Amino acid sequence: MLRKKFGMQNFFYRIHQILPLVIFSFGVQAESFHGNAKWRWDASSRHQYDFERDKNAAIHAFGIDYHNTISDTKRDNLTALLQLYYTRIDNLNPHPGFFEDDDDQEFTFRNFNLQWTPTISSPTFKFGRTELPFGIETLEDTNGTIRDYGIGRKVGYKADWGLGLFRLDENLDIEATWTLGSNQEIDYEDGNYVGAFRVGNGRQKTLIYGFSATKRRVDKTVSQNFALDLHWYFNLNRVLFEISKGNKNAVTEMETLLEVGRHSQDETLYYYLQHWYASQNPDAGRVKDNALWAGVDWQVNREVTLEAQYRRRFSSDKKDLNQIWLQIRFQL
Amino acid sequence: MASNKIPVIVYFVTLLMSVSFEASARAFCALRDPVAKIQSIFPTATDFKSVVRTINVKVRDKVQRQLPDVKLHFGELGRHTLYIPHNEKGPLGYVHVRSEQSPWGLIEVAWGIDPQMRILDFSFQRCRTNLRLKLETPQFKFHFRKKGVKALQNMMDKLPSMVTADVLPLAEIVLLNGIKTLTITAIAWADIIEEVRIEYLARTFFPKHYMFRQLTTPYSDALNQKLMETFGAEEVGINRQASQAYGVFDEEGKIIGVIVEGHIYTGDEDQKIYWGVGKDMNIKFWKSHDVWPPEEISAEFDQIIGMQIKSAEQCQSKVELIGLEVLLLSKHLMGR
Repeated sequence: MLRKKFGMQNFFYRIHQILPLVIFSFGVQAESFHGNAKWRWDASSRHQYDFERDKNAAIHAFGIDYHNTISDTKRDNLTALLQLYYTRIDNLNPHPGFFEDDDDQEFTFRNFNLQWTPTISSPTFKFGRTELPFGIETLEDTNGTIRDYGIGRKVGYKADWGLGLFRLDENLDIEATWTLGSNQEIDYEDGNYVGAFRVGNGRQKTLIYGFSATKRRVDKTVSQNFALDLHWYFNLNRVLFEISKGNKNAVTEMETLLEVGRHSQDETLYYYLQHWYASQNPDAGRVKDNALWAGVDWQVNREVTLEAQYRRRFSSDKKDLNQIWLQIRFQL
Repeated sequence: MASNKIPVIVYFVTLLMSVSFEASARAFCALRDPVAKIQSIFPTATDFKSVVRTINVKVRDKVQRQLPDVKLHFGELGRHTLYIPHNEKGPLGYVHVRSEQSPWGLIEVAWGIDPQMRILDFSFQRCRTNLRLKLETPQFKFHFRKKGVKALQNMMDKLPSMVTADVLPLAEIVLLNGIKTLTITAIAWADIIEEVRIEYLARTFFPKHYMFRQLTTPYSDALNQKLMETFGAEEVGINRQASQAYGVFDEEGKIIGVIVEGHIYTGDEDQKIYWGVGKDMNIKFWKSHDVWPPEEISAEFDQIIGMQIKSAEQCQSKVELIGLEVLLLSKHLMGR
């Protein structure tokens, strides 16, 4: 088996050598490079209290969200979307796999990619760490938010290293990615991959729907999933719905997610209810999971956002879940 | 482990600090995927270019001086993108997206604008009410076509006769958004707008145009002497210190015309008027920024197109005196 691994440390050394080359290899003058940059510091502190286990946990993140379109005199050549964070977890269990234990700290990537549109009629290609298109999540940016649509359970990750392409037209929204299945690290292992695809109608509509498919093989995990998603907006209200079906290591899975929410006229305040239902059919018998989440997002001003969410598993074959999450986020 | 990451931290901090950004810069209001939207508004475009500028407090104050009833919400400040579609002939205009609060939440409209800062088309990027379908008709969009800020402002009173009562609130929001978009774009991207406008005027009115170039010190000592002899000590209405001129050249590098950007005294802020003068020493065209002049003065400017103005004594109005100065300036620039 071919296995070629760039560890995090090696990769960081590589990136600080590679990035300037990427930037300057396009023959762009310094002024035009800097001129289109948009960036902000992003710092957040997220706290969880688990009523069942009487336990606190926290996630702190500090990073940079950098966006730049590099142009010559007539056309855009390349768009860079670089989101790099220092993330620390305290007493977090379960925790994402790239943390070694419940108390750890790591540099983490969210989006970290370059985008290139060859011609005005063609799709845009993405190279690097890119979000995976699947279900509701494709239209909802939940990077750094407590609100979430559970893409990790169905696709494996929210984002991964690899290639992608997308095109958004008036009546057609299409995106596909093919990635390494290595999550935070660039870790190429022969046979591992995550493929994800979504096709939907135009995003400016009041009723948006889409079909998604994903297939992955990462080490011993083999899974595939299909989903239909629906986004219905009326006045200040919205309803999001997703139904997905698939299998993971030969175990059939089915999941539905319903979110009903309402926002203020200026969209700085959003409050919502989410209902989750999941069932699995392993040989030992069917396992069902029901949960209700209630939350509020409040963008206080240009710099500060507050979030709160209550999670309750109220009818379950699994262990009880009774948690509250709070987050304060500064974007400067 | 942390010490191994220090070079990376240093690298990112150095990279970012080396760039002179405005504080609180923030991505907002860009097209999610600009390609398709640009192609639908400008079907002949073969390429486009993004230009990002900061909408800061200074821009906001200027906007509010021009549009006292308009308020920019906090999401409208920060870094914003103007898209400039091109084809082989040159820039075709602009696409810019602005958001607006509404009873249905935030509305985002992508506006197609021509090089003279008039609306060509619009398209909703986000609008959470089906009432938008009634505004996406060719009939309604036609009302906006080739209209600048002043014409759009005049349209506000006529809007109730253009749409049904149920859709009027949304139509008012869209119209206000269009007025705001043109105003903000003209202020925050003023240098780009100027360059594209001159290129467009040169391309449109001088068929043999190959390139244009700004002419330095248009009002030379020799010209000022000539103007003194013609008009006396007083200026006739053009702010000579602020005015600019551009030479239009053919492929062989010969000057074939002059575009004068005259700053006209109005008692308040100077207003820009553009005149094109060919080798035959006739005024070929005049164009304004739309918000000025009023109709009666526009009519007077129309009358001096192609008029032979030989001397100050022949002039019967201030506009004709201005026309004479434009011709003297152009003759001087083409002869030097």
